[in-house]
Amino acid sequence: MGASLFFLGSDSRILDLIRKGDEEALTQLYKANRKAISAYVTRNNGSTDDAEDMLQEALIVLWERVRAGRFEYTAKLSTFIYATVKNKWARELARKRREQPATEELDLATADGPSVIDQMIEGEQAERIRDALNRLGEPCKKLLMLYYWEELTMEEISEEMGFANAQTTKSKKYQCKEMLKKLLTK
Amino acid sequence: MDNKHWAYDAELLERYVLERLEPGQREELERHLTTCEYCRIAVREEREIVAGVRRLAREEFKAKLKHRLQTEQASLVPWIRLATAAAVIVTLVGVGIYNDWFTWYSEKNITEEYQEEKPATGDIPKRPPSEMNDEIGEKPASTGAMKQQEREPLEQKTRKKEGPIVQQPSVSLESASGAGEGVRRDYAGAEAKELDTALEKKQEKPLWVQGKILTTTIEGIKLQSEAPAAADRMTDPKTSRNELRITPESGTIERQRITLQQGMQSQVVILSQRTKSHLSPEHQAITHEVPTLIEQTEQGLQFTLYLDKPVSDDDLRNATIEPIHSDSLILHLGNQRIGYHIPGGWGSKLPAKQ
Repeated sequence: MGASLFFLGSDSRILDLIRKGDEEALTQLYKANRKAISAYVTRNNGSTDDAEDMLQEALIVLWERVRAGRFEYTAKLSTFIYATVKNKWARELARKRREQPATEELDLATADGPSVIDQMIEGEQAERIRDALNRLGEPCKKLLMLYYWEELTMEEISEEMGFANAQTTKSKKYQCKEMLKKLLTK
Repeated sequence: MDNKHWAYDAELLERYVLERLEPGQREELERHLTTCEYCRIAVREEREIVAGVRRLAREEFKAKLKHRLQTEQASLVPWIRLATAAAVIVTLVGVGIYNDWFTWYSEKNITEEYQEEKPATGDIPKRPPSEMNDEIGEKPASTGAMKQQEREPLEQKTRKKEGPIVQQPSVSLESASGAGEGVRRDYAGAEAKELDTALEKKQEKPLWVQGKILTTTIEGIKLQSEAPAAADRMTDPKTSRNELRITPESGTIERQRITLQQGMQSQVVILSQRTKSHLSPEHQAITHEVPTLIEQTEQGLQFTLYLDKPVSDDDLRNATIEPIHSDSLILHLGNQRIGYHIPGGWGSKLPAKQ
């Protein structure tokens, strides 16, 4: 019990930093979990680069959920990170197997995850939107990212971006989105 | 309520895509989407925007995080090196001092003993004091062996340090070799045959697949039917080798034959087209996908595309197919690219048409 309270204390500080948008929290988590994650991934057919990538992905998942208010503290943050890496690494290994020429893997059609065509479509669409967003520029790009990715409320976005109030932010968001749609249809 | 276009309400549409609608409202909208193509398209576009923004945001955040961590790591390294170097120097100096002291102490005690016990008659000197023996852990011996005794404890200590280092298993090498094998395997001839056999057994009837329309190109895809172009592409094992053999029927080109090859996989595909009006109403309502019937014939795989509008003879004549994976193809037809995922692979054979 004492140990879990200790972890809750340090985890609580980390979570507060994330809620405030302080990326130093991720640096601390990275240092604290790097060895364990590296050991796990390299033991399971991965390289140290893979381990770095998986850990960064897990930290981003944590960031997203905390910022969007969707994170529920049910275990230590290190446990959450470890479990997230395990899931992501399993999916990554499955994806790598699908991309290899079929040998023993006969069930190509029943493999989990999107097909190569679906991935291509997703990639192409993402490329179009990336291009349009970059042409959109700031502050629209940042506003849309705060709204759709970090899922902040209009009030939170107003505060972060220095807009007058939530209604102003809502109006700006609508304008930015309309501009984005126009760029996408060009 | 089902008659209006829900897509006219941009906020409602957004809340649906972001999963912020109340359950009742969501179900009502989903019922509407089954019959309204306009709203389905609007929902799809909204989803693409949301997914695209999220994806870019993630990528940029990850790049920023990576840079931050690398910078942090780089700033620590010189300090780590300095600290390590300092620790090594301190250790060496410490060992050196200890050695010197030990030697001095031993010699001092021997000298004192010798002086104290020096016989007038020239007898052999006595053994060193007992405390020195305890420290060494050895039985006292003659003077000549003293230095050997002094050395032995230090050597024992050194051997103890060396032992574990030598015995440590090389775990990383084992895991690395295990990781390498699966990735390095190639799609060899014998394995390809085994795959074909297994896939043949699995598939028993003609197949309906949905060809997914990828982004269209304005210029369209122009086929280079001259041999050199095809020959050039043959050097790349993943590129299709397309041969056009036009099979005219009733004066109209309705079919097109294309030979594919990728590694050990090869296949002949015969393209034909029909309009969607031949399909049931719910299949006609599908947008951004081309219902396609795939059947095995004596000549190869016949792809019958059900299109909103038939393509021109030129477009059909100039069609190409690009294999991008053992179970995925892209059909270039006019200014469209249609992607197919074929369960079991395109190199496999479907049963002969009944």
